[in-house]
Formats: sequence, C-alpha cells, structure tokens
Amino acid sequence: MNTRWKPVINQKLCTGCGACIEQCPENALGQIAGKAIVLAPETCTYCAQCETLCPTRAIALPYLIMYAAPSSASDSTSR
Amino acid sequence: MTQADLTVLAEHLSNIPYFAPLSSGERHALAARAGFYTFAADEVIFLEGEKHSSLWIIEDGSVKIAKLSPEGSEYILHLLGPGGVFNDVAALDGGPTPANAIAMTLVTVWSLSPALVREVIERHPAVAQAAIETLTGRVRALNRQLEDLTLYPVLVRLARFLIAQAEDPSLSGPGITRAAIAGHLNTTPETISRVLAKLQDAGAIRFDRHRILITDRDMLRSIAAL
Ligand code: SF4
Ligand code: SF4
Repeated sequence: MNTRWKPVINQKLCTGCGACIEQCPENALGQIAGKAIVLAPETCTYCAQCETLCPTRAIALPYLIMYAAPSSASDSTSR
Repeated sequence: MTQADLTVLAEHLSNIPYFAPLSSGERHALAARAGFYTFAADEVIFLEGEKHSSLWIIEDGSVKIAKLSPEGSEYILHLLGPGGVFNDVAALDGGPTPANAIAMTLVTVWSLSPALVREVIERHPAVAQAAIETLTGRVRALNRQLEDLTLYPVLVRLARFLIAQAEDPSLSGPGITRAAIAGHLNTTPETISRVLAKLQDAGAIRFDRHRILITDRDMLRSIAAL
C-alpha cells in the first residue's frame, strides 16, 4: 500500500489528548513528544474516525480526486 | 348527497390515520355531516393565509398544495389525488391555511368543518392521539426536507469542485482534506462529509481509501448543473 497517503497531523493544533490514538481501530497512531503521529501508515484504512473525533481538527485525511478508471480494459482504445 | 357518496367518504375516512380509530357507524355519521363541493381545473380552493380551517378530503381529481416564493415562482409541496387530505393543520389548530390549494383537474371534495373536527377529537381520545402521531411524523419529514434544502447549494458547489479537481489533477497535488474543501466552498468539514456521503449514496462517487473516485460523470455533471 502506498504509505504516502496517510492522515496528516498539524503539530501546532495537536494537543496530544490521545483521543485519536485510543480510537483508531487499526492502531495506526501513536504519540511522540506529546503529539500524535502516524506510526503505521500501511495499516490505516482511511476510516476517518480520527478526523471526526479530533477536538482541535488537528488530524485530517488528504484525498486524491479523480475519475474512476473505465470499467472495461478495452475502453482506452475506444476513445 | 346520495348514499353512494357517503360510503365512498366513509371509506376514505377509514384510510385517514386519525379517523381510523372510529367505528364504521361513527365514520358514516361524520360523513353525513360533511359538505360537498366541485371545483373546475385551475380553480383556487383556498389561498395561503385565509381564515379557513375546514378539513378537505378529495373524492375525485387532483389538487396541488403549493407556496409562492416572493419572486412569484411556485413551490409544490404536495400533489394529492382521490382520498388525499389537506388543510388538516388548520383544521386542528384553527389557524390560517398554510399554503395554496388549487384544483388541477375537475375536482370533487368533501369538507369537514372545524367545529365537527373538534367535536370528534373531544369525543375520541384515540383520534387525538392518532392526529398527534400524524402531525409529529410530518414535522420530522419537514425537518429532513429542510436539511436537504440547506444542503442543496453545497451539493451543487461540491459537484463542481470535484469535477474541476478531476479535470486538472495538478490541483489536488498532495491531496485535499475535507477541511480544505470546506474552506474553498465556505462551509464546514461536517457538511462536506454529509454531502460527500449523499453523493456516494447516489452512486456519483466512491471512496477508495485515499481516492475519491468519480464513478458517474454524467450524474455528477447534472448535479453540478453543468
Ligand atoms: S485527537 Fe487531535 S489533538 Fe488529540 S492527539 Fe489526536 S490529533 Fe492530537
Ligand atoms: S483513518 Fe482510521 S485507520 Fe486511519 S489513522 Fe485514522 S482512525 Fe486510524
């Protein structure tokens, strides 16, 4: 899995409350020096629970917006 | 009024949730005291704000219940056919009519006077209880409708935003968060979440981990009014 795509944590906004770390169903998050960090990006399923519950909106998921690939492989030759 | 008319009205009354608790004899007695009217197509039955608190039940034809915006455009709240009931809110609280009622075809309708409605409610607590349930159900439905109305402008702007992003991948670059989208569209991340979920339910987009995939371009374009 592409680990470039993972929750982004704004270190300035994070208060280190630990709520996201506790709630993450995949245990992807941890804490270093009083701030949340993404310890295991490869396990993150992008469920967005951390983003929803963070009281300071410090953690957020970046998305790539794109057209879905055509369902049939032959489509690339048809246009 | 003929005997046949009364039976049809009594039958319609039995389908109105708050008259269902009445016995068939009581419904026939109620039907016998109803007024009976005919309206031509496009004829106004009543206008919003009139002091007119009868309960109307359609025998035949269609009636639209509509409001006019300040600019004069019509917003249809309900289209009703045979057996349809209208103005029950005014009939129950004695207040003014909440919207316009206009015949769309040749319409035959019965009306129960407010005094009659009040009498039935006072005599039959089960009718009062059922009326409360009908009205609270409608309040909830209106709340949902209102929510959709306030979300609608965001839906259109979000659909446009998603198309613009997909057309030019360089815009998304390192990815875009709900908070950033909310910032662009001048709303809150929570609203963006709800509207994205609506688009997903409609089948226009799909989440694939960190990708928001536009699965139905035509639908999204039509939502975006493009
Ligand atoms: S919930 Fe928010 S503030 Fe609390 S530790 Fe996580 S990122 Fe930091
Ligand atoms: S998106 Fe879900 S899985 Fe990923 S870090 Fe947040 S809570 Fe954990």
